[in-house]
Amino acid sequence: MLRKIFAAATLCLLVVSQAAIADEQDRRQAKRIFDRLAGTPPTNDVLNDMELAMIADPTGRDAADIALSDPAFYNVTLKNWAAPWSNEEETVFTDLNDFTATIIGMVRDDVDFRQILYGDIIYVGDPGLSISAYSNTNNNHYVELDALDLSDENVMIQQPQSTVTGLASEATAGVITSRAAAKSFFYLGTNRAMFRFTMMNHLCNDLEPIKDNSRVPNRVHRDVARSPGGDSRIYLNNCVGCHAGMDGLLGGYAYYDLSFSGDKDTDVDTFNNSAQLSYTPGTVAGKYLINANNFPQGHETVDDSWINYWRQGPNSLLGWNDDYPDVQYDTTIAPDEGGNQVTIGNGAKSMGMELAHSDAFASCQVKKAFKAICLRDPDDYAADRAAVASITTDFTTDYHMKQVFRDVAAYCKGE
Amino acid sequence: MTDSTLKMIAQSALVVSLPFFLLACGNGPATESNPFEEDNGLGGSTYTGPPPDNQAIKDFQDTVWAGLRSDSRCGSCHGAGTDLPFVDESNVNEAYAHAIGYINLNNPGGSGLVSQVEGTDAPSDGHFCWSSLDVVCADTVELLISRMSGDTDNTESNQIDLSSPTIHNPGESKNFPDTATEGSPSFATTVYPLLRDNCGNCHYEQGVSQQQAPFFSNPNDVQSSYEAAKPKINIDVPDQSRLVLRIIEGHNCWSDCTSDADDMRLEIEAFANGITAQPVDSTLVTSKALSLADGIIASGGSRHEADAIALYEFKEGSGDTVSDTSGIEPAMDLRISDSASVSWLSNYGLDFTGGRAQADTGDSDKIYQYIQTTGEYSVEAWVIPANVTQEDATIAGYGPGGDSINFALSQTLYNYNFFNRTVSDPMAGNYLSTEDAGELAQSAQQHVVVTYSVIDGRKVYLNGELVNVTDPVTGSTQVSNWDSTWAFVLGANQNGTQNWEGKIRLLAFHSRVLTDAQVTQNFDAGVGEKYFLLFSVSEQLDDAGITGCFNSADSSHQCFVMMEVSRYDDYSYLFDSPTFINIDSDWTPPSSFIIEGLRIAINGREAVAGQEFGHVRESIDTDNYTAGAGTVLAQRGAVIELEKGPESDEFFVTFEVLAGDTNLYVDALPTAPTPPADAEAVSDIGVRTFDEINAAIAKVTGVSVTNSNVNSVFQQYRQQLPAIENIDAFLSSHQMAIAQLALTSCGVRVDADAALSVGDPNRVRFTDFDFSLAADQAFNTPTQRGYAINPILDELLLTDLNSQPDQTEVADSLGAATSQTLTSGTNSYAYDSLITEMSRCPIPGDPHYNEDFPCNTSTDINTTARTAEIVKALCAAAVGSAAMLIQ
Repeated sequence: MLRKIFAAATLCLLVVSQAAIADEQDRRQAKRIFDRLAGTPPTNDVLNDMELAMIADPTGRDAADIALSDPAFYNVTLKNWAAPWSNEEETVFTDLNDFTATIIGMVRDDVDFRQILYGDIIYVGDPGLSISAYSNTNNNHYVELDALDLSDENVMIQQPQSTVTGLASEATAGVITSRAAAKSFFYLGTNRAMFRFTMMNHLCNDLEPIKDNSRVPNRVHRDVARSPGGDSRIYLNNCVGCHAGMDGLLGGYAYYDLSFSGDKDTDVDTFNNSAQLSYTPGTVAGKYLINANNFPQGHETVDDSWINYWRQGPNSLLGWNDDYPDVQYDTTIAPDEGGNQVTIGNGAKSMGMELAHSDAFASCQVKKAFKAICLRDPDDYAADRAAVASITTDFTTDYHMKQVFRDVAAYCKGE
Repeated sequence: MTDSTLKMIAQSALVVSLPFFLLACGNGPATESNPFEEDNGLGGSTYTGPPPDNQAIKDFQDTVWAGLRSDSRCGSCHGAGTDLPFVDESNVNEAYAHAIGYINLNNPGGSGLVSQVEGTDAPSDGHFCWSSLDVVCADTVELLISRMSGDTDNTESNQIDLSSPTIHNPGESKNFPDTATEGSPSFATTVYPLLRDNCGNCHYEQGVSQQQAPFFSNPNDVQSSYEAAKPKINIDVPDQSRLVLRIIEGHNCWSDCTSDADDMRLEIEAFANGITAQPVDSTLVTSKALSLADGIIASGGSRHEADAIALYEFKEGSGDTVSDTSGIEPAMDLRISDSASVSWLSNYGLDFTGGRAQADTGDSDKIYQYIQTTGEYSVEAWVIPANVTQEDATIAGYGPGGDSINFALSQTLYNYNFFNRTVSDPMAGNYLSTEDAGELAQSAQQHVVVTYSVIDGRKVYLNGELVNVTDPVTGSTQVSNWDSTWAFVLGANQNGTQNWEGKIRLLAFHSRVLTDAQVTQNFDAGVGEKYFLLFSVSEQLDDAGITGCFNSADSSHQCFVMMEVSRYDDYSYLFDSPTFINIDSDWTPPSSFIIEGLRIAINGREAVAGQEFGHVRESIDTDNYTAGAGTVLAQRGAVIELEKGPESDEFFVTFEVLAGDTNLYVDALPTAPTPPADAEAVSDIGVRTFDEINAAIAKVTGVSVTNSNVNSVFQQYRQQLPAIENIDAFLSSHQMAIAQLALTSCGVRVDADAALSVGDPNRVRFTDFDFSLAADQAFNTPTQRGYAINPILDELLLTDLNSQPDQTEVADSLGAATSQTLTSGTNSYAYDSLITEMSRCPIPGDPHYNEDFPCNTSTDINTTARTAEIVKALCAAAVGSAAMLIQ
C-alpha cells in the first residue's frame, strides 16, 4: 500500500515536473499571479496546484482563484489597496479602519461592490473576539482587529452599519458614512472634500478633467467667490467648471458634519478620540452657510437635495445609469439629444447610488485593481483599455470585486 | 402716475425691496446730526451774520452753505454781492433764498446745483466744477443736499423713472463653424497648429507634464481640441481671446510672451476673418437688445453717509488724484504714488500692487480735528484682497506706521486687523483681529467696517455682520493722543511700508460710530455703478395674447424682463434679480403665461459660462404679479464675461419658453475623445511594497509578523520601505530598511532554532544545523553548509521556475568553499562566498578590514556566537535579496 502511494506521489511529481519542463510558462505565470494577488511568494505546493490549474484553464482565472484564497490577499493586498482612499493625505501608511475593513469584507464576501457608496453595511470584528468594541469616537477596535486574519469569516463579520453606529439606516451611505471617511473628509471645510475624494477614489476622476463651465451654475454656493482676487475670468473659466456640477451634488451631504474636540494638528490624541460623524436630519450643517456674503446672489442650501447636472454635457460620458431604485428626474429641464435627463434626489444614500451606478464607477474599480495587480496604468495602452472594458462588462453582471482581481491577474500573468 | 413712468426707489436690492418700498420710506435708519453744525473751522472764516431764520435755513447753513461757500468752490462767484449769492458769507438767510430754487430736497440728485456742476443742463458743461472731474463735484453737492434734507440715507431721495428704452433688435454677429475644418481658413489650419505644438504638454488628456483642462491641444483629435478651445476664442475681438490674454499674462509662453501672444492673435484673427457675420440664430426666442448705455442708472441710493468726513468712490477712472467727495472741507484728496503699482479699475476702484494713495498731512488734519471732537469714528471699505497670504499689510492707515499710527485697517492672512492709538495703548500695538479659525478675509469682494468709541471700544464688521471678537484694550481708550501731523493713506503706511495688495472700491471715514443697522444698510447698498436694463418681451407676449404690453397712446413697449446690471469687475457684468414687469403700474396679467430658461446673450450669442438663470421657470399670473413691482423670476445673480467693453457690448435675453414661443435648450451629445496612442512601455515587473515585504519575509523565515521584535523593527522602518511597486522608484534607503527587517526576522529564527537541539521537531527552519559548533567547525563540509543555507533557499526559491535566481548559484554565492566568479558580461570578478568571508579575520588590504575594530580569530571567529551570526547573515542575505523583493 505504501509503495502504491509513493508510486502515485512520484508519478504526480513527475507529471508536474514534466508539465513544467514542457511549458515553463504556466509555472512562471502562476507565480506572477500569486505574487501580484497575495503580495507574497507561494509555497511549492500552492504553485504546483496553480500550475495544474493553468494547464486546465490557460486563461489563468482558475489559478488566480487559488491565489485569492491566500489570507495575504485580504490582509496585505486589499488592505493597502483601500487604505489610501480613507484619508485626505492618500497615504497607505494608515491604520486599519472601518472604511478599509468594509472594503476588504465586501470583496471577501462577494457583496455588490456598489454598496460601498450607499449600503447600510459595515465590517467589524466578531463580538466574541477579545478586542475593544466598535466605537463612534475612536479607532481602537480596528487597530486591534488588524493583528488578526481579516480573511477569516469568523474574525471579521458583516453588520448593518445602522446597528453598529446608531446612524439611521436611511442616512447610511457605505464607506461615505464611515467614521474614517467622516474624520478625513467631513472635517471642517464645506464637505466638498468628501465629494472630491469620492470622485477621485471611486470614479477615478479628479475634478480638473471633468470641468464643464457650460452647465447652469444656479447651485453654486454663496461661499464661492465669483471674482477671486478681483478677476471673474478665473471663476468663469475655472471655478464654475467644477462648482456648477459639484455644488449641485453636494447637497446630498448637507446634513453631515464631523464633531470633534481638540485640534487635528496640535492636539491629535484628543481629536482622534473624539472625532465622530454628525448627522442632523432637517438641519443643514453650518459649514454650508459660511462665507455667504462672498456672493449673496448665489445658491443657499436649505435641505439635502442634490441635482446631477453632469448627466448632460461632456460629463454624460461618465455613463450615468437609471438602474437604481426610485431614481428621480428633474423634468423641468429638457433631455439632451440622447434623451439623458438630469437626476435629482435627497441625501447621501441616493447620491451614492447615483455615483455608484455609473459606468465610471464600474470601470474605475477595474482600473484600480488593474493598477494594483499589473503595476501600470491601463489608460496608457489600447490593449489594456480593451481588457478593462471587457472585465468591466463582466463585473457589471454582479459587481463582485474578487472576480475583477481574478480576471485582472489572469490578464497580467505575463509571458 | 403715468402709464410710461414708474417711480421707484433706487435701492441696490431693488427687486427684493420693491414690494416693501412704502414701508422703507417711512422707516429708514435714523439720521444723526452733524456734530459740526456750527462752524467747524474747516470751511472758512467764522460766520458772523444774522442767525438763520428757521430750522430749514439752519440745515442749509450746516450743509450746502458750509460745504460750498469757500472760494475754492462756489464762494468766489456766488458770494455776497454777486448776481446769484447762494453762498453769501455775510447772510445765510439771503444765501438760502437764492439757493433754494436750485435745491430739490425730494430728489437731491435732480437738484439744479447738481446738474449745473455735472454739466447735464445745457448749455452748461461742468459749470465751474472745482474738480477736473464733473462727477466728483456732482456727487459732493448731491451729498450736501442729501444731508440738508435730513435724509442722508437717501432712501427717499433717489427715485428711478422706469421708462421704455429705445427698442432695437439684436444685431448680427460671428458664430463658430460647426467643425474644426470649416471656414476659410479653418481652426484646423490656423489656431490649432499653435495649440498642438506648444500647449500639448499640459492641455492634452495625455499631457506629459500634467493633464490640464481644457484639452485643446490633443495632437490626435482636432475636433475635440476645437470644442475645448471655443470658449477661449473671441472671434469678434480676437485680441480679447483668453488664448491671447493668458499668454500675455505670461502663462507658459513657448518663446517670448509678446511674440507668442502676437502669433496667437494673428492666427485667431485669420480664423475669425474667415467667418462671416451671421444674424442671431433665428430659432432663438429673444428679447430686444440693449447696451449698458440704454440702462437706467440705479446707483447712489440708500447709503448712510451722514457723518462721512472723507469719502472715496473712485469714479475718476484715471489720473493721479482720488477725490474726496464727502463734501466736508477741506477735501482730503489722495495722490497716487506710482501709476505702475496703483491702477484704476474700470468699475470704480484702485488696484494696489505695491504703491499707495496718500493725502496731504494738512488735509489729513481734518480727521484729527473731527475725531478729537466726537471721540469716535468708523472706517468703511469695500475691498478685494489679492490674496490671503500677505501679512501686516495696511489697507488704510493714518500715520507713518509701526508704533506711529493713529489708526490702521490691515490684513494678515485670513484676518483683518484694526489698530487704534489710545491713551492706554499709545503704540497702537494691541490690535483687534478677526479670529484665525474664521478665515474671514477672503480673496473676494468684501465690505469691512471698523468702528471705535470710548464706550464700546472697537468692533469689526464683515459683510454687514458684526464679528464676534473682544477688544483686547481695556481701561481708558480715549484717542486724545492722536498725532495731527500724520497723513492718511491707502495701500500702505505713510512711510510706504507694509504694502497691501488688492483692490479698494470704496472707502469712507465716518466721524461717528456706524450702528449695526447702518453697517447693514451700507453693505446692502453695494458698490459701483448699477443700471436697470429693461429687455422688452412685448412683441412675444402680445403675439401670445397678453394684452397691455404696448402703450395704448404711443405704442411704446411696456412688458420687460428687467435686470439690475453692474460691472462686477474689470472682466465681467453682474446681472441680478431678473424680474418680469409691465411698467404700467396699473397692469396685471390678463392671463397666466410661462417664462422659462433665461440665458444672457452678449453680442449676438448666448454666453457660454455663468448662465445662472438657465433653469428658471416661473408662471406669471395674478397671484405672484404685483402691479408696479412685477414678478421676481430669480433672486440670484449671473456673472457674465465682458467681451468688447461696456460701450460696445450688446445684450439680450433668450428664453426656452416665453408665453407662446418655445425653443428648448437641448444639449448635444458629446464626442468621446479619441484614445491616445500607446505610451512608452513600462517595466512588467515591480517590487513588493512594505506590508508585502514584511509578509514575504515572514513566510520565508517562519517568524510571524506579530513577533514583537519583528513588529517593532517593522513599525520603525515601515515608511522607509517601498510604498509603490514601481521598480524605477526603488532606492538604497529601501534596501537598508529591508536589510534591517530581514536581519531581525532571521535573528529571531536562528535564535529560536539554535536554542533547540539538532533534530528537535520544534525547529522551524534549521532543523539539521549544529549551532553548538564554533564557526571554524560548523561549516567545514558541503553538508554542513547546506544545512545552513538550503532551509531558507528552499522557502525562498521555488522549484522548476526559471523566472527566479538559480538556487545552486545562490547557494554558491552564499557558502561555496571555493572562490566564485561574478561575470558582468564584459568583465569577471573573483570573490569569496559569504561563509568564507565571515569565517576569517579581515587583514589589511581587505575591503572589510578596519583598524578600529581589530579581529582575533580565536575569540571573534572560532566561536559558536560567530556560527549563529553567520547563519543569520546567510538567511538575511537571501531573504533580503531581489529573489524576495521582485514580483
